[in-house]
Amino acid sequence: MRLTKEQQGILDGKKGRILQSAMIDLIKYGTAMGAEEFIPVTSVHTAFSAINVVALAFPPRDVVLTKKDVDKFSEEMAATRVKVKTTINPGIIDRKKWRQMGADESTYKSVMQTVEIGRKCGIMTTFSCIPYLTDNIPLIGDHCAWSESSAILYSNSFLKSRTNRDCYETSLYSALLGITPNFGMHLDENRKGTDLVDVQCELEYASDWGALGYFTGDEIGIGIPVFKNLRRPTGEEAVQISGSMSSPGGIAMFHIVGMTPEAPTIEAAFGGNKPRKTYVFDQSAKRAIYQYLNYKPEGKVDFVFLGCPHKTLYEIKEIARMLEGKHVAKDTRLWIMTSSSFRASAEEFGYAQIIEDSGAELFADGCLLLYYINAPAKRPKLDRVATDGAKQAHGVNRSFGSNVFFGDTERCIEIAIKGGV
Amino acid sequence: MANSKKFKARKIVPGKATGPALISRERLGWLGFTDPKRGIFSSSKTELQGKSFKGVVLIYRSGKAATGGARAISLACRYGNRPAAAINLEIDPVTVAGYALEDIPMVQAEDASIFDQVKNGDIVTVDADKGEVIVS
Repeated sequence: MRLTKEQQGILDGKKGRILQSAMIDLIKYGTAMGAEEFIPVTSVHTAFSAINVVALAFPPRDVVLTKKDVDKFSEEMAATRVKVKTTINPGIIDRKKWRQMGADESTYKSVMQTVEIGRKCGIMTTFSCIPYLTDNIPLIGDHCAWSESSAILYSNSFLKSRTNRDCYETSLYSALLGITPNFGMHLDENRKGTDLVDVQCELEYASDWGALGYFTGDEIGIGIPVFKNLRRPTGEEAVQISGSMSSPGGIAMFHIVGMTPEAPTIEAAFGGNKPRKTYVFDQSAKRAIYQYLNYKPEGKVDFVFLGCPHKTLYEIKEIARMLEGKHVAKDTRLWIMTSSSFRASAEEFGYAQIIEDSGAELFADGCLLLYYINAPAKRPKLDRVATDGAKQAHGVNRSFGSNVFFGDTERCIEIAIKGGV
Repeated sequence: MANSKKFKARKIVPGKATGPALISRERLGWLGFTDPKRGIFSSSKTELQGKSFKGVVLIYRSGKAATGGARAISLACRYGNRPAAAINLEIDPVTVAGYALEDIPMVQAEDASIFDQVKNGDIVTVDADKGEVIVS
């Protein structure tokens, strides 16, 4: 890769070990992907939830890190500054209501230690997977370095900002250096459609958009789908299709003909490409996805989870409306997860109180899967789960073998009130 | 060797390494599908469940899913369970970053015939710099 004088200086170690290591590894990534140069980025979305995990992105490599290694890294990191606007993905716990989640104090302390290092670095510790709606909103044409597979899909497809499927490590290097290798989604020629998806059924609920996204990710795997005969999504439906398409494959972008900004027409969406294949999403394909994401849902439900991806403020308002004057069943827990910015607004606007009064719990900052994998002793039972997020339905079954009900938000809330399917 | 076969492949991550082949026609994620500490594929959602990836040449369709996948590769290397090399048919940046950061040689196969030409356990050399895969 061609380097500027400044980049060469960083590579030679003139700006210290952390930046040197970031540069070495960003060059490795760019070279492997065929990039010839770096371009500046305007924003980064990465992960920064536990400093001992962040430390894995830096030397020493090939060894298990000791406490001494992590302490040294923490000091170095706290003395380094990010170069561009940087937000982070959900972490393990809600930093305000961690006790209510059942997390222990040591988890809380280690998260807050990481938050403090992040603050010193200039990272905004947003802990959300929908940065594009709250704290990190790119403009058309902005070059970004984002991880979080669902946010990548949303920003490329709906906002016309440009990011590759960057991993946590390389996006953090981009935050520290302010640059990304110029390849893939940053270049016009790689943003054209590759496959056609003909939608031949009505999409009624946001979860139907989740089902369509899951279907598309599973069928195409890697490529750029072009949807035809698909109506305009609402903002919330746009979040769901982006969230679910990311789990079964490696798609970074899609087009909706007549809707998304790079697809005014089907010809423009394909930009001269011939579709490799045409897929049909009809009633029976939709039913098949619901069947696939519903893992033996019957009887009692222990846990209802709404918030994968994080709920928008409008969804929280709607959930409050559905819960007003009602009560969640005694042996069932209903968790709603959002960003801390939206939670603050929900508290301000009175939605949070209505939700809490019903016995449901409104949390911020967390990701249910991360919480379950990393945290606590007193966690709720996950044997029988209901959720309106296709990505969550897939993940919770895959990781914990839970029986899962996957369906629309209103149905999930009915289940929480009734205590079962 | 008389019976050895040679394929052309595109260099993704430089280097040369040899190991027994472990093959899946599926897309494989690293995060949530593997146990880096034990060095095995752990998820029941992959046909490779229970198989060790330590020292093997992984031949599979492509990476997929979470952008945390590269971290799982790094952890595997830290626990001494480094795969020898990887051959993919389609390229996913998250997966490439995982191998590139750990200097694990990786190539892109020319087409799907590799799945018919190589069997599990065959000794495979990936020479990314020469753009070659040799099955002995």
